[in-house]
Amino acid sequence: MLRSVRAELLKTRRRFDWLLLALLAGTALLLGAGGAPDSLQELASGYSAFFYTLPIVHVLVMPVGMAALTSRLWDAETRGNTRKLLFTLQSRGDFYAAKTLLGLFYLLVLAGMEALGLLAMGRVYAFTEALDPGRLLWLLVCSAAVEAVLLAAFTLLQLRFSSPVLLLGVGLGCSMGGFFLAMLADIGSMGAAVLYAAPFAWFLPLSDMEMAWDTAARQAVYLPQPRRYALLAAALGVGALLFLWGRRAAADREV
Amino acid sequence: MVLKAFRRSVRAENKKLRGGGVWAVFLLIPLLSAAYGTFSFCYNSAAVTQDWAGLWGQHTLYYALFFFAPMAAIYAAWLWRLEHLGHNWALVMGMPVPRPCLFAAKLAAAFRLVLLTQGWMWLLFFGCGKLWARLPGTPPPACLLWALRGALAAVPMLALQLLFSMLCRSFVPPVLLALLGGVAGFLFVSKGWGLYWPYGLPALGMNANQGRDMLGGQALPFAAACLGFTLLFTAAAALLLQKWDVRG
Repeated sequence: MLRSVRAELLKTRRRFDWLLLALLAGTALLLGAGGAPDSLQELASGYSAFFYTLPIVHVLVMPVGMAALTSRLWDAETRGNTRKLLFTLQSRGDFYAAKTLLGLFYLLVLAGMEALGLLAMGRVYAFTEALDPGRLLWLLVCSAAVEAVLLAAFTLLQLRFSSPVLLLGVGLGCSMGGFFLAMLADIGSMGAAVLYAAPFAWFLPLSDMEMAWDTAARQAVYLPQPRRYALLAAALGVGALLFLWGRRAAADREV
Repeated sequence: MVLKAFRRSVRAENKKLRGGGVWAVFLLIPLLSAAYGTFSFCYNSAAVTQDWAGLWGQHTLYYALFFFAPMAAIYAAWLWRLEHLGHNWALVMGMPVPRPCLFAAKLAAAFRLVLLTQGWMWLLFFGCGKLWARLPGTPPPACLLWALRGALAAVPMLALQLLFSMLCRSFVPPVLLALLGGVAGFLFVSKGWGLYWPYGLPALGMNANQGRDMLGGQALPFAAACLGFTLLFTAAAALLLQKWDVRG
């Protein structure tokens, strides 16, 4: 197992994967900010606004981002068509687990980059609201859990089809589909139930911040929501199941 | 001689597009965008004017600002994919056609694909407007013009993406750069600087999320920006291809 992890780390040399993670974190924060805050009220709710907008932005950015990350993780094997060779040389289970471990490590780095970016933006814009570390941690853990589900699902697709175009196409489709579902969930008759049906949109029901529009004051008011621990557990469970499925698929694959 | 080589290269590029997964992207993204746009149009009937221009605004809102650039980037990356596989790059360097022809042929093939995408997007717009939103009459000719203008505005972006995909052996990073470029384009357009950013041009050309023409009186600067960026990126690519040695 250790040898497989070392081999994966060797493959990351000169691959600049951290740049891809920085791109994803930067895009999410850029979209989440939407522009500099221009009033005292906005400065006073700067972090809350981010806790509300970032899950929405994640629905849009992360499915395609995770498709890209999966494609990067399997890049060497796809381009060199060496998966067959590797499958015959090393334990397939270890090979798959090492790739998954590296993917999870990347998700931690991504969460760290987003947290640092958020703190930096708070400093730059001089938010007057104090940062709630518990809320930040919840956002990062939930985001990483849903991203892990996406990563595991895309890895299964990658194993089956080996096509980066298909992965990115499905990623873009999920991004758009998630956004569509977010709008559907906004409609009273449909309710938030539609969001539970699509794991790629679970960023939203896992969010613990809601927004209401105060028409009299003409400003957004951010309201804390109860946290859905059961859904977080479900995300972790689905991720683990997909990992086991992928590991079995890799073991059973004809070479 | 050069024209003949260019034609041969275009034929080769078109062959690469046959039966590729790229057509799934071509079909799926405008379809989802149309579903989203029409649903949003019908649902927000109080906030959006219930006419063809209003529907156009909803259809192009996220399509032009967020999904168009990565989709075009996928087209560009697909066209370089074969060259980057195995040791094919050495074969490319030894091909009996002028190297800039190769890049120009890829740009032509990608443009054809974007033109078809815009046609597909317009058909979906028309179909959704008539069958789903039940709008009377036909869309104003301006909508067709905006769709075509979007395709033209995509040319500099395609040239840049082809350049990125030529330099980067991996499929994914150029597509993510396009994603970031599109998001930054949204900010550039909202500040009124869309003409100075290749990823902002399609949103301007397609008149994304606007009832009035965003290019009113700016058609010439728009054309100049499209032409200038295209020439700049194509020249850079041609220069790099000319100077580049064979690499394994």
